[in-house]
Amino acid sequence: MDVVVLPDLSDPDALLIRASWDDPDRFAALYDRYAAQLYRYAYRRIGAAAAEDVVAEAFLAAFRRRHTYDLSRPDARPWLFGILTRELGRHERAERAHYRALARSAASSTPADSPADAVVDRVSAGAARNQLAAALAALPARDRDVLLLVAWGDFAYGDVASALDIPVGTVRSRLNRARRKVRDALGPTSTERTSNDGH
Amino acid sequence: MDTDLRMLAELGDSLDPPAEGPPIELRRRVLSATRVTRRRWPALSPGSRLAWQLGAAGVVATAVIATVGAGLLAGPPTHVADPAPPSLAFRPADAAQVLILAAERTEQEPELRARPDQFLFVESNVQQRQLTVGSDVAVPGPQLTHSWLSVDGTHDGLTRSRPLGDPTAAWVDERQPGCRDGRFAPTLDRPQHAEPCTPNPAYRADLPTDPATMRTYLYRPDENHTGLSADQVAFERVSEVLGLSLGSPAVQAAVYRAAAQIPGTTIIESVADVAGRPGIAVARTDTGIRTELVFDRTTYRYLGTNRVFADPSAAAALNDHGWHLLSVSQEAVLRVAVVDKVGDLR
Repeated sequence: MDVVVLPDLSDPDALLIRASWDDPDRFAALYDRYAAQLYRYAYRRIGAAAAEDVVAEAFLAAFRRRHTYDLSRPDARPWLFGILTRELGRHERAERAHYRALARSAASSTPADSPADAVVDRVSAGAARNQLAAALAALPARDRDVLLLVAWGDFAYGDVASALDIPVGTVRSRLNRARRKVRDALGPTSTERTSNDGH
Repeated sequence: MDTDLRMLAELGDSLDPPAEGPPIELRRRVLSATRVTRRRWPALSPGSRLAWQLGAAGVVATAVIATVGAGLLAGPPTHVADPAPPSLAFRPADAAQVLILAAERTEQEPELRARPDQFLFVESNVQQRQLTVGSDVAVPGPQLTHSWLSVDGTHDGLTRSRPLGDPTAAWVDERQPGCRDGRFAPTLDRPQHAEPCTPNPAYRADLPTDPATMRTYLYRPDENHTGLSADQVAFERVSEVLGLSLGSPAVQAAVYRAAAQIPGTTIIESVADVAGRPGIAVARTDTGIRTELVFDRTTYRYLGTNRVFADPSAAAALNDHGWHLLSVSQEAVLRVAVVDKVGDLR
């Protein structure tokens, strides 16, 4: 009786990438794993119109560079987000315009802590949101990249470093600088304390 | 969490896209750009080529005997025991979406070019069980089948089969006589005795290449009077068309798109074809038999068709419909190539 050997369908990313060296069609599995989160991240940063293009370009860039992937890293998420970040860098003007548009938009309602503070909270939350968007627009691209990989990508410092191919120390300094500017933009009322929670 | 990061997180959440996943066109766009252009339709499909690289990339599928037999018995869908599906981010929402993805994939393939005097070589796995009214005759199997089909239908072809798991077994040959000048000789011992015929070409030029015409073709009257609903007959004709259009991606894309319009189809997440390759199936059930079109879960390449009993009482119900309805079968095409003569394998 023949032995049945079925594909291990929870292969680490590195194995999928390795398989795609011989058979490009296997790259589709990497797309299926990461397209949703890459798209969501790009959509947040650059809006609906350009998100699809940016993600497509990122996957194609990843595909073209798949032979250079370091197979000793089982998790390709930092690699992919690094490539996406580079593609987003080509659309910097669009990204800033996206944030500036947000900064000008009417304050949206956010949940209040208590009914009594509802009105005040809603106004200030909306205003804060606008200030935050304006702050993002004003950040230098490198600082914004690091800040958002941490804040929206949930990456630890080490993974940000590997994604962007920079030292961890540089990640820390860019992050601190970005956060300082964000806090300044939000104004004195929102800056309670400044603990640097490390990862 | 610090206020600035918390507020950034909230801002981020408020900027999320509305839908669950990225636009479906994005997948097609990325994968079609990454697809290697081949001059011919692949002689070795990626799945079967990797099948012989045990362990290399951790992705292997080899022919199986045990689970195929189980798939023919009454019961739940043919399940492949796997821990989790590979597409953690993308799950097709419905059967129609799977079919559209299959259409988009196949549209990227080039037409298979062949001269009229050449043959289409098809390697497939087939399991066929036939019931006649009142008795149950099981054909041992599955079979490995090699077919050489005359491209223009005028040259003699050949189909041979042997049990899949036994490379030492003898091939059983079956001539496929060509139809020349309107006549073909059906038996070897009486070569002068010819019967009228029309050529049965491997390349059918008459099959529709647009979904609307294909739909009409699928819903044409049921000459066999199977007693099935029009939708089920149309659905079952899909794999028939696929078998007749092996070199023609345009026809195949049209039939997938037409099939996407057939109501009452469902997705079955983990199904194996008769060659043991795991996939996702688009299925439709009628009078206790479920027909499954099996697709590769990652690339949406068509793998094969299964027809299995959906419930134990199906056998009893079938006796009313006539013998030709009673076969339950599985088939999967492993390899297609254009060759110069019968017996050539590449």
